[in-house]
Amino acid sequence: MNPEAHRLLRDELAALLPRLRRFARALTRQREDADDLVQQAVERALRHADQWAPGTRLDSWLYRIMKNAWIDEVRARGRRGEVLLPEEAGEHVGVTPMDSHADAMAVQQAMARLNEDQRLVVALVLVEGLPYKEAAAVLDIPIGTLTSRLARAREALQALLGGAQGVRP
Amino acid sequence: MTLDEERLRAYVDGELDAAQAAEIEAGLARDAEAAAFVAREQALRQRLQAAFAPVLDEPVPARLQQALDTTPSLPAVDAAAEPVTMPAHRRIAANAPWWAGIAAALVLGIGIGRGLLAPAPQPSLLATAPDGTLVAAAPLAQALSTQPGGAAAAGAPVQVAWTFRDRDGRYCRTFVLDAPAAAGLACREAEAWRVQVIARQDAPAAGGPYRQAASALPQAVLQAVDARIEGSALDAATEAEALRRGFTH
Repeated sequence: MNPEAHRLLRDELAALLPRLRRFARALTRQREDADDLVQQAVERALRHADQWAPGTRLDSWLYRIMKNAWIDEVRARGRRGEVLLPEEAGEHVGVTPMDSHADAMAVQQAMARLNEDQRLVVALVLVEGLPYKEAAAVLDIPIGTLTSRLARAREALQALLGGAQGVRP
Repeated sequence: MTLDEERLRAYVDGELDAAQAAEIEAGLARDAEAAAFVAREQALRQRLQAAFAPVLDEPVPARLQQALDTTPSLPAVDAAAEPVTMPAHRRIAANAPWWAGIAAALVLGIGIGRGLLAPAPQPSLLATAPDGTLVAAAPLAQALSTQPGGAAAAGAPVQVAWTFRDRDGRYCRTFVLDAPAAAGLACREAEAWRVQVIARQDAPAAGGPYRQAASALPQAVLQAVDARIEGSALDAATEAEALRRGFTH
């Protein structure tokens, strides 16, 4: 890859960092892990810069790298016997949230109760706003699989969040 | 009446076109159950977005910008002894069409533009060896094996710039391609010229009937030379002798 394309890649990556951090926070149970995940992905993306064709979606490529890195980490932790609990475990995570911060906590706790496949689809489609087609491509699954996983995840979230009342005015 | 939940969710997610969306909206006016479903899904989506939106406004931790600034991204330069290898899924099949070599070069970021893939009697310049590494194909290999370095006539498909020996004693030559406009470095290894690096030639050739092959070599090529060269580039006489002996020794 020529120096010009590399400059372009680094500039576009820098602009993407906030979204990548948001995606990582939607995936990881522990806040500290989120930036670790982004760092891993950035380093990997730069080492494999020749695999990105300038002009194609950089964000999809990065989400895919992050997805793979995260799945590897989850598997490794499973093998090491580490069990990660949500920051504040609770049976019923939130029925009547009082303010936006408390609501955010309730949402994150509910996310933590989903399985990894469900968290991925929710993060890509509902948090990052990817179209179904892009999200399915990132995950290497058919669109039908994506939408049914998304439906199950949303049903679970609706149940956990008590009908999604939202923030009280 | 059973709801078409999948379609309603697709509507909430903005997956439907204008006509389909209008149809749904007309239906919502008539169907309270569907309207409630849509309202709940919209509320959930908004809640999810609101929960994670603050992350976008957080200052990016220094370590992430640092990773961006310091991680090397030119494998051919930073792993000095490693040739550029084609990612497995991009290896060229043995019976690949004549433009496959150029397509490979495109993958490496040179010669962007559809015109390069248009039918033209242009033989491939690159090929993959059985081990997946890039080697020069016939016209380039021919030029590397027989052409003296220095200025060549404008329009010559390949120009050779320098010849030198690397730290393992192999002969290496830098080359400039006319089309696509690129330059690279190849080293002689077991009857083949292994392409160590290839990069787009940024500066157009200077005017006039002849161009200096050594001028305006891309940074990536210069760095690859620096990383490998043992001593100095060969002078004309030594190069001629090496050419005569077919770069064998």
